[in-house]
Amino acid sequence: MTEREIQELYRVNKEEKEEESNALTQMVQDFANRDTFPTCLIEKVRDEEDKIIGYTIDFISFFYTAQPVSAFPNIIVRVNNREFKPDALALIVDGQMIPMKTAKTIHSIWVGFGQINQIFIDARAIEEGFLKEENKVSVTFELRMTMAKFMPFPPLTVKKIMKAG
Amino acid sequence: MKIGVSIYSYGGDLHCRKMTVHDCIKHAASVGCDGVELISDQHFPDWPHTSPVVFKEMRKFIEGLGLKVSCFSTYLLYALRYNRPQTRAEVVQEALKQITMANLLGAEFIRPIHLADTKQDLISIMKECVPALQDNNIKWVQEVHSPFPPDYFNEVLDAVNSPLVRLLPDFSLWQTQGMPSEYSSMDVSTFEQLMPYVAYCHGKAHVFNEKGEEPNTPYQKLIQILKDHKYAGYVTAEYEGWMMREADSKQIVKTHTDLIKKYVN
Repeated sequence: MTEREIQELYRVNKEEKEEESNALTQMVQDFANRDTFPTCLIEKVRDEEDKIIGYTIDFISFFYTAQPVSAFPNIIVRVNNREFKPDALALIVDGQMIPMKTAKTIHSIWVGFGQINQIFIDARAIEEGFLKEENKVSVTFELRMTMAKFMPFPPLTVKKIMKAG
Repeated sequence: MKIGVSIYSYGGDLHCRKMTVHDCIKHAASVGCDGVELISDQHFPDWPHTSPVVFKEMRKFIEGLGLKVSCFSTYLLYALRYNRPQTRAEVVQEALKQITMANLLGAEFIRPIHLADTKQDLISIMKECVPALQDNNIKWVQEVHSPFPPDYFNEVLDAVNSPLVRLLPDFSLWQTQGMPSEYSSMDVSTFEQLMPYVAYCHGKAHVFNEKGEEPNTPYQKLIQILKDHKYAGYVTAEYEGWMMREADSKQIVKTHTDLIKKYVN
């Protein structure tokens, strides 16, 4: 078989075995639902003067290997039905804050398997009183496949009720 | 024949942090195996920037339990960067780095997965790595996994033509059911044709029945072929059902290694 034929095999598998392809997506979805948000807390981040500068949500990548940050080119965050613009978001990986708009270019910082990272929401995007004791949080992760160019992966959305800490 | 445990089998409990990598290795030692396989991206902190000290300490820990590192499994990313594929030179540099890491770890085999553009790319990358494999006393095992045909890499191995570059068949090739979209149901006789190339095997499993059998994978027939060919390498238990359902990793690994032992002994 040639490489083209192998790529075709993946394509045909996806088209002719749609049920199985859906099963694969559902399998990862179930895995993500289980593990992505280990704390289900929205926590305040304060500066040296004790001023709130933002909020964080702990997350664990649902992919089965470590991946460079650029493997997550877009993360859409909704809290209580409000979608936050990328300008208001950042990823925190091993204490390093990466603005969402530039995360898709970062290949030297990696998100480890089972590693706890944070989604950061700028405080300027959240007015006083917006966060309730319990909040509806929905996060959609777009995943760019880094192993090969012919293995697309559909975006995954994980929804949880999270307490504001 | 030697029995290995891939620490990948504990993936569910590792991912949700119920177990540490060291917990998993200690458990693998307790079920009675010869070696453990470690995955670069799952089992080493700060990957791919892991300190050499971590590899040396991991080796010491594993050998202290009376085990060997059977294999260091890695990935050579084709699309690491968002705006262009990796160049061949970049992939070779990464492969050489990983071979050095495998040496620090004391691994007998390294399994780099690389979904190269062409087989020619893969052949040239492997050829460039042969001197490093020799220097580090390590064999590169090319994994063949469903949905690829079992003989897909034979021509690559023929072209590289080195005893240091051999084949790692994954039993998913002969599963009648496994990961969705990822099983081939090939006839078991196709395993025979691979035997001249085989240096290491992944005993893939996704589910076990009440008798401790993997109902979708012909373990007895596959291991019999290995015995017929006087294969002396590893059959490494690689359970992947943790992606599909919650399971007690420790119980699963015990069941899995018992299954392999039953047919090997």
